Amino acid sequence: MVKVKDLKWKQDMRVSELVDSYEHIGFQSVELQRASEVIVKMKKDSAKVFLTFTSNMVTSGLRGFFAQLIELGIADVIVTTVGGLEEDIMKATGEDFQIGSFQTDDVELHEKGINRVGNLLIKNESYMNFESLIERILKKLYEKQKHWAVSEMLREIGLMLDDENSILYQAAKNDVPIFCPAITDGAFGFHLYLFQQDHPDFMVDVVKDFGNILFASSFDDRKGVIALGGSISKHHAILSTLLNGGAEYAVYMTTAHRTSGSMSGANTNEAKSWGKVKDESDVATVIGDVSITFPLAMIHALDELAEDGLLESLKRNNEDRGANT
Amino acid sequence: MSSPTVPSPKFTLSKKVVLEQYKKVREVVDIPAFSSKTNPRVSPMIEENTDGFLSVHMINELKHLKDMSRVLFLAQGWTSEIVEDLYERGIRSFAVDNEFDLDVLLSTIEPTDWKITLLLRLKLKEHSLRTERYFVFGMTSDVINERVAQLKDDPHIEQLGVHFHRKTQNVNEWKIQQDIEDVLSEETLEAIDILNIGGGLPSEYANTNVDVIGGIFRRLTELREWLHEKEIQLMIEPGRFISAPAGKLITYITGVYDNNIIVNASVYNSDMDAILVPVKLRVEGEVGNNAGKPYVIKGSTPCSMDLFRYRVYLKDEPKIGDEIVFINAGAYNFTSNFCDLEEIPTEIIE
Repeated sequence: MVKVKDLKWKQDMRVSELVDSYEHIGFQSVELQRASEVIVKMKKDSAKVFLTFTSNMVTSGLRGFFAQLIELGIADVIVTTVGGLEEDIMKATGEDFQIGSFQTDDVELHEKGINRVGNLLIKNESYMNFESLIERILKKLYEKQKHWAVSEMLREIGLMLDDENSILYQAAKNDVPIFCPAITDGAFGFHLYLFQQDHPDFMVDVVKDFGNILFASSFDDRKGVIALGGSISKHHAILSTLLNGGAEYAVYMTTAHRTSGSMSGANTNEAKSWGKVKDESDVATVIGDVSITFPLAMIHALDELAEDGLLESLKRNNEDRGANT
Repeated sequence: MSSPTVPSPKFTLSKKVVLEQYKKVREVVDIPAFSSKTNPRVSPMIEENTDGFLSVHMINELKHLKDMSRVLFLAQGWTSEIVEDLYERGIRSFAVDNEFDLDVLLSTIEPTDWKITLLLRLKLKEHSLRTERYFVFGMTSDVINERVAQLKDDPHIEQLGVHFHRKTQNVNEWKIQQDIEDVLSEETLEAIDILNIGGGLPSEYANTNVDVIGGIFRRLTELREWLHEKEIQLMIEPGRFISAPAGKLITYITGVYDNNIIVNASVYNSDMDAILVPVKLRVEGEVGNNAGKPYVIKGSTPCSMDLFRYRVYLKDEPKIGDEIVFINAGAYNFTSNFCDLEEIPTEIIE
């Protein structure tokens, strides 16, 4: 058994030292330290890593961190929701989001044309700029071809961006496919609809992309899932791993609780009952705000991978690898 | 089913590679003990060409060896008669898994003047759920601490140690010092002479990451330094790391259709690891996924589990009669009699 040990502050203490000490504190800190170890393990074991996150995380400052992780070769497949991709494009084209407050007058915000995501604020103007941009993007896509699988379309959009902190840009540059099964569930979807009204032969094929995510890995691969938040992004990834024999590694980080019976709250043990995560997999479920828990766990993991000289090789492997789709 | 149109499959096992791999291990630990179960044909090579130990789990494995004084026998559910038989054969080093086995051993040696090396198997916490079902093996740290205190002055025991074993192809549980400090008392660490960390050094397969080896060896070096401060020797039982790279499985294509290749061997008589662990053998000459076409390599039986590789990219179009050579195939290449399959012969090469 591991003993409980008292946490002690040290001046200039590193994140990794802090997370190491979590193993001995208790409650969710133990799970967080364990999540970090599972992430290290999935990378050391050459698992195909499915990183999933919901759009609110891209609204936050985690967006650049996700892009960095793609660049470093941590993620092999991304699954997310369309709002995050819209906001990634907005930020790539210079839009700023603001920190507000959870306790605010939402009617007043509405009158000012400001939208609230938790304590983050997005101006309507940002959406207007996005909408005028997306029309030009769709025209370019249409000129190139009429029929797009979602991930192939997102790759093409990523190649049009020029921002090192962009998820779409880094994914395109590093041949990491981004899957977004609910592509119509946002402003982007609305514009796809409008564009299709004028161009009836323009088709974005979600079904074809389901095949692409299935073939992004195989029964030969070990598979790891890092699911940040819940929803369709989490489910789509683990459904894909289920159809390829189940994931060997899974880290879930969420504020949702299992008691609701929802996909968002389902923990890694529940996933085992479906075969989405293998019976003998290494798993950790961390209940807590991902904006706090994920950077701690991931930075600890990155430090360990860097210490073992593996980050460069991950990046190299990423560069050597062909497109996954 | 054998085909008259192609040669029979065979294994090759390189003595040179075995000894090169052994040397790598020898440089970072005090007592390497080749785990005989991974490939018993390697055991005589280690015995004849090195000063290393051989770790043996079953009496049947002893037929491959001559010098029993270099055997570490890992007991499991034995009797006094078995203990006496092993001692009479010349075996002096034992690792026991549980208190029942320990008591059998102690009651057997109590009326004798035997001198033995004894390792007690520790149920060390694993940072993994994967091995939950293996938690039946070993004794809890409380028992180990208590038993070491009782045994440290036993006149029959020349060297006393603690043994644990984490799973094979272990990639990330090498920060052992902290784990040991958490579970073994200072008194225990003062009393023991050997810490045997078992096996688990990974080898290279299609679905493993060979880049982790450097980090593992660095941690082994650090662990040995820490143990030496306490006058404890570091023992390890790598089997796969030594034997896997030395072996090749040479098969021949008997059928090709769509993107499927059938070879004249089966995972059931050559590569059970593909089902059990599972590790996937690399194929000589395979290319990256941008440089060739993907193929499924199927074994010779009609079983749907009989798959060597689900997706291997080959540059040249495969034809009936072509060789398919699986590399790093020297570990756990044991056979089953599924479908009355014959054992595939092994050719020892220098």
